[in-house]
Amino acid sequence: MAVHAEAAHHGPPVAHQSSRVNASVLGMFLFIASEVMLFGSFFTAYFFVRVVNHVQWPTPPFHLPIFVAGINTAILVTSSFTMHWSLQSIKRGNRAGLQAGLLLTFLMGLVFLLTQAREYSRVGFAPHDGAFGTIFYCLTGLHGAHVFVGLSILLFMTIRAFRGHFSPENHHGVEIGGIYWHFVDVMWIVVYTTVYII
Amino acid sequence: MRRGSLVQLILVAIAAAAAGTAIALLPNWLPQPASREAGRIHFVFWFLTGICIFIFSIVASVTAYAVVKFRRKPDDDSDGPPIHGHTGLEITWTAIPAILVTAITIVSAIVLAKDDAAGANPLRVNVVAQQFAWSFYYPAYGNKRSGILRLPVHRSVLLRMTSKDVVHSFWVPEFSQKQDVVPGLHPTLHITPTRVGTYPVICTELCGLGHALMRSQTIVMTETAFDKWAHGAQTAAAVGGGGSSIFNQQGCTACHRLAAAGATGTIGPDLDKLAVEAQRAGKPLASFVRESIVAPNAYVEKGYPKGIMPQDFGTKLSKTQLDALVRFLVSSAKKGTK
Amino acid sequence: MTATVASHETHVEHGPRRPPAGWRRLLFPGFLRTAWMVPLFFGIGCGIVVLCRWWGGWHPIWFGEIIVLVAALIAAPVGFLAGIGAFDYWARYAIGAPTVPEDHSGHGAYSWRDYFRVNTDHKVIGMQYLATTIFFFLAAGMLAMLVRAELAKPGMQFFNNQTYNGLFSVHASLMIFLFVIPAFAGLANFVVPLMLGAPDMAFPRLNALSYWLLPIAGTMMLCSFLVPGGAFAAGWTGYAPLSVHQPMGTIFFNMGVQWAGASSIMTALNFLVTIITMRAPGMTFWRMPLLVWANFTTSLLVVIATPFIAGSQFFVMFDRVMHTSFFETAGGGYPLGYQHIFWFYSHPAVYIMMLPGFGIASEVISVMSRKPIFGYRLMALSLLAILVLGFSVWAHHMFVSGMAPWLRVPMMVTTLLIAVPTGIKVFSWLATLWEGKIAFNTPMLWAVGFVSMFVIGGLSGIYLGAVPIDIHVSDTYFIVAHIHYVLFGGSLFTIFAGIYYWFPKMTGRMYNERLGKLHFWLTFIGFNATFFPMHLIGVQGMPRRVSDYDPVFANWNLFISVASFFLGASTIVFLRSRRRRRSSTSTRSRRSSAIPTSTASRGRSTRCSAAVLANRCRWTDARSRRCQRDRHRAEADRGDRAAQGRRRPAGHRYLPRQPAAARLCGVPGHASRSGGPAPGPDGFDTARGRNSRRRLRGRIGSRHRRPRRGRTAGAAGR
Ligand code: HEA
Ligand code: HEA
Ligand code: HEC
Ligand code: CUA
Ligand SMILES: [Cu+2]
Repeated sequence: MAVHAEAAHHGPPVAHQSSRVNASVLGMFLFIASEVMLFGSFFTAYFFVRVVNHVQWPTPPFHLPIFVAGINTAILVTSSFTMHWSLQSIKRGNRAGLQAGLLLTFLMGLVFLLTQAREYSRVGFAPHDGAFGTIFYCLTGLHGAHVFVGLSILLFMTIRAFRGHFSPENHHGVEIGGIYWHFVDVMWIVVYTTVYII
Repeated sequence: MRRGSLVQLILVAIAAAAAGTAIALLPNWLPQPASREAGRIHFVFWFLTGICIFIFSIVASVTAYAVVKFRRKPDDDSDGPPIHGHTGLEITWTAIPAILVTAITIVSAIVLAKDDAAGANPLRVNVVAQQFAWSFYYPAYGNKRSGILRLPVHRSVLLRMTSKDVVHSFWVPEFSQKQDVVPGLHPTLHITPTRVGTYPVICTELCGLGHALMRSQTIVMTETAFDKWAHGAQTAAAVGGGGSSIFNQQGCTACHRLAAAGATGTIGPDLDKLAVEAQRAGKPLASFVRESIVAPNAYVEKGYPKGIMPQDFGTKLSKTQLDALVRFLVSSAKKGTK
Repeated sequence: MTATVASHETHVEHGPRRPPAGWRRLLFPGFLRTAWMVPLFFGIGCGIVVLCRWWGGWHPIWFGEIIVLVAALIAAPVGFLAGIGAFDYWARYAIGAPTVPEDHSGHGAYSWRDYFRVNTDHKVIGMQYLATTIFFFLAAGMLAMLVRAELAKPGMQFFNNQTYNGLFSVHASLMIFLFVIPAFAGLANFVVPLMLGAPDMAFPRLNALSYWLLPIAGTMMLCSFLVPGGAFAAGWTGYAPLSVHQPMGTIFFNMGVQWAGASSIMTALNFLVTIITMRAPGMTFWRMPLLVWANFTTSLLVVIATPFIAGSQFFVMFDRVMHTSFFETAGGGYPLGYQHIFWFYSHPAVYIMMLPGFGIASEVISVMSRKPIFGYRLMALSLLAILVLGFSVWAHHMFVSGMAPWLRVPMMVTTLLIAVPTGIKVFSWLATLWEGKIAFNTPMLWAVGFVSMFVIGGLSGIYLGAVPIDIHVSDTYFIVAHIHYVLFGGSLFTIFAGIYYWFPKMTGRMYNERLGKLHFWLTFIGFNATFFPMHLIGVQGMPRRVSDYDPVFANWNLFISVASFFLGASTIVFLRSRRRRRSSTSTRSRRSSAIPTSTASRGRSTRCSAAVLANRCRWTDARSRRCQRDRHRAEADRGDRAAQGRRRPAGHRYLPRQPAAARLCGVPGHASRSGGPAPGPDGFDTARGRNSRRRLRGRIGSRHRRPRRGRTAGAAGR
């Protein structure tokens, strides 16, 4: 970014900053607000099925792999820390730390997603097996889709990191992608708690 | 504001209120109430209408007055007075609507509570809705089934409703009572008929292509007439065995004309002409009818679109029901040609 | 990130990129590239479906409905966006390649062709929005004409029931999702940055993308008439379980809503960020025009509520194609869940369709009465109150739905409470009219017409909010009347007010005042004749969404149909009223209604923040010390700025508060760049003639430095 961004004019002329918050960061937070509401609509469906309709959870012949998913949770939570570390690194000018952190985060996210896919194929029920299966697949699947998007963003950040595009002065790309990744992580904890544990 | 102009404004407001009152009183707005609930609901309606005429005449008169009186002269370039607000006024027009709205809420809540309270020992009727027909069951009378809702006058009735497929809605305008009928749920509705007569039962929730035709009737009768009807023997057709009752029950009436079943639908082909149609299709009558019901798309009558007639009668109807239905259609068709 | 960092000094003039010659043209963003990218993505979509079904062992692997869903309704539109160039910049950025300076296409329009590109200029996007939405309005209106033709007589005339249901479903969906909501977004796109003194929206490329999603959504909904089984026919509400069992057209609704919803979320996000971070110096929240306030609250509603309709449509889609059990009782689903989720969006949506109109009305009424808006703060606060209350009333659409009975009274209370903040707005408009100097020109006619028509619609809403009455009239023509009084008499009237009001500013031309007024009166009469009797037949017992009805309503329906054709014909006047002589002469010759026509649609927005501010002060807290101080500061800064030409440091998370208003203002070279003269000091309070403007400037600004080029140029240009 720093390499070329200033060289050419890319948009409208600079605006007055009437808020201390950076526009892109604010945009990401608002986007996350609407993402939370999207999850909210899925949780509403969950509420209707489980609380209003009293569907058994999990419906008898089926089991939820709480333990495997728990390990998966741990992996995802750890990846949030590596993400944070890579951001801190670039803030201090440590490019190697940035690259390593992003790479680690990406790999952990990938492991999470693959484990989830494996879980789907082993769990023994399908989305069309009643409301329990429906909600299970749709909530975890919605989250999985977010992990997938997060991974794509991470991939792009990693490429740019290896191309040397971030610097201590200019790391919004990492910061914003990071915020999204933390959101995906926190959301998983909520999904895990509601779907698997309680 | 000068005195004269205030008088003018008030005159305009009175004129507006008079016009509003005329609109409220001249046409027959609400249908003649035929239930106790309807009477109460109409009271809320008129109560609210009064408030609305009051508010609307204020708004309309101020607008009209301002627009006429404060028109800018063509060569006038000056500004209006730089008034930014007036706390007293603002409080007033926050408080008055708040008070009116509270009054409306209280009246509505009281009426709602009264309407929801069934009288002692209500007559229970189970209502089953399906695409595009109504069935009414009377558990107190051996689960007697009827396609028409018959009710005794002056006795409180508790309708317990459910749907077999999608959301429908039960409405009798004269009763002013309405309730959506949802699959999987059993909502209830209270009605206390007060007037003998025949009123329409209308489905008011979009339920598919036959929605517009999903109608039935409710007949409010005197207590004795109702008793007589209720204890009367079920006709063979009403028990559920007869082809004509299946025809009615399955909602065929919504789409087809068939004199033998009193059906006048116009969406599908005229089934009084079945014999001719079978000939045109080049198939024996009975197997043509059966095929048309089980797999309607196998042969599509010219001029009618494919895929309109529901495809699932083959699975919805039992073997015996299907046989009865086919027998009924074939016999009526043969009668028709004779 | 891609900070819009540049200095004016280094800014180079650039038009749109020229397409290269030869086969490389195929790679150049534009319709040529979409021509091969759409089929390509369609093919990829088919491939994904076939592969997944083969891998999952499902039979058949070629399954029509899923192919349509994935390949035609998801992949192909993405291919369209990629082809037209909506993603070029981001794609390059993502892989770290150097971004081509203009690969997002330049700003502004230099010829009519530039309106068919991915253009990042907020004004061009505003125009694109308006043209597109008016097209869909006409389409949806024609469908309404067909509806009325069918209803002119009892019995079936032209269509069978399924087609009829499709007609009003598509009518309503287009009107709501492709006309009212985006038309407001388009108007706001044009004017909000100008009102804030911002150079553009915060994310211009995102802005362009959100526009280009609209034609996709609209085409999708219209195309549903072509698929087997006909258009989606479960109403614009698409209640489950009916929508789950309808023919294939329904997925066109499900996906069309997703695209339109994504578009409105992105726009709303953009507005919020713009309003929060890009206000001109001194433009505090309490000085923002009410239109900006209205868009701020609307955008909050959109960001919070819209995901819920996305969710509801996802569920229906899953129930259809994956046989899940969200709403299927057999599998343990809960059919009423759909309605709760849907209305949790769609009730706020009706305020999404009304609040921007409130903003326009405030603007027009105050300017045309030459008075500041009455009770400015309470007006803004009542918007916020409607925002908050709007989230707590969704179940008033479900009073008869069979939901938990105890929910009805609380929902009735909140529903009726909304009358209070709305009443504040209505009475404040009336008070603004009072003792004003009212110019009764076309925009004002629409605005005043709006007030009274909306009050009728709102009062019928109060009938509906009172549960006992709703039990009687729910799902009857009384509702249809309510819908049209609030949406047509409310939203549409204000959209027309806005279009007429800003037409000169947008196009540099004047509309024909006489035809404009004619348009209003014809519409006003036609509208009332069409929709008022609907109250009556509804209460008397005519249900909605029926193609056939009891013959006792025949006379009224015939009357309504005839009136509606009259109403439709009045739209022709609207189409005629806009092509008119060049403005310079016409505005001058009718000074009383002079809408300055300064900013042409092409070229860049002005950044005359000091001027914007001066204007706002007059409308809000002109007399306060604080405002004067801010204004002095802004003007002084401008001086500094011109002298120093400093650059903003790039890429800090917390930027220091910008000391200089200046970089926004009157920089030589920019005002002259715009296709026309820069807007005058009071960019937006347009009703005044030249004299009054000069006087005004004398009143509040005479002791201070005279404006520099941008301003004088603007004034002279008029
Ligand atoms: C622009 C869109 C818009 C707006 C602004 C409104 C505003 C309101 N609406 Fe409406 N509504 C719709 C669009 C809108 N609606 C649509 C599209 C439907 C149908 C959906 C469908 O099923 O297809 C619908 C349906 C609908 C229903 C469901 C009916 C049913 O299906 O059974 C209800 C019920 O409560 C309702 C109520 C209200 C109320 C109380 C307001 C209030 O906000 C109105 C407030 C305004 C005023 C009251 C007037 C001004 C106030 C004063 C002058 C102050 C003094 C007033 C008093 C003291 C009363 N609306
Ligand atoms: C912004 C919203 C909006 C607008 C502007 C309109 C505008 C119109 N609407 Fe619509 N309508 C809705 C939103 C809207 N509607 C909604 C939400 C529903 C509920 C749907 C549901 O139940 O799911 C509905 C339902 C609805 C129904 C009820 C259908 C039913 O329940 O069975 C009817 C019936 O009369 C109707 C009629 C009209 C008419 C005549 C117009 C007219 O004002 C249109 C005028 C415009 C034009 C005609 C177009 C341009 C004209 C020309 C191009 C010139 C040539 C024209 C000719 C004269 C032929 N509408
Ligand atoms: C929603 C409307 C609808 C309903 C309900 C409906 N039909 Fe039909 N029906 C049609 C249409 C349209 C056709 C013509 C197209 C076709 O053959 O598929 C048709 C065709 C037929 C035919 C063939 C007649 C011919 O001339 O081709 C028969 C027999 C028939 N229906 C019987 C029934 C019976 C029995 C029922 C109830 C169990 C029923 N229909 C319910 C719409 C309907
Ligand atoms: Cu049943 Cu409409
Ligand atoms: Cu609502």
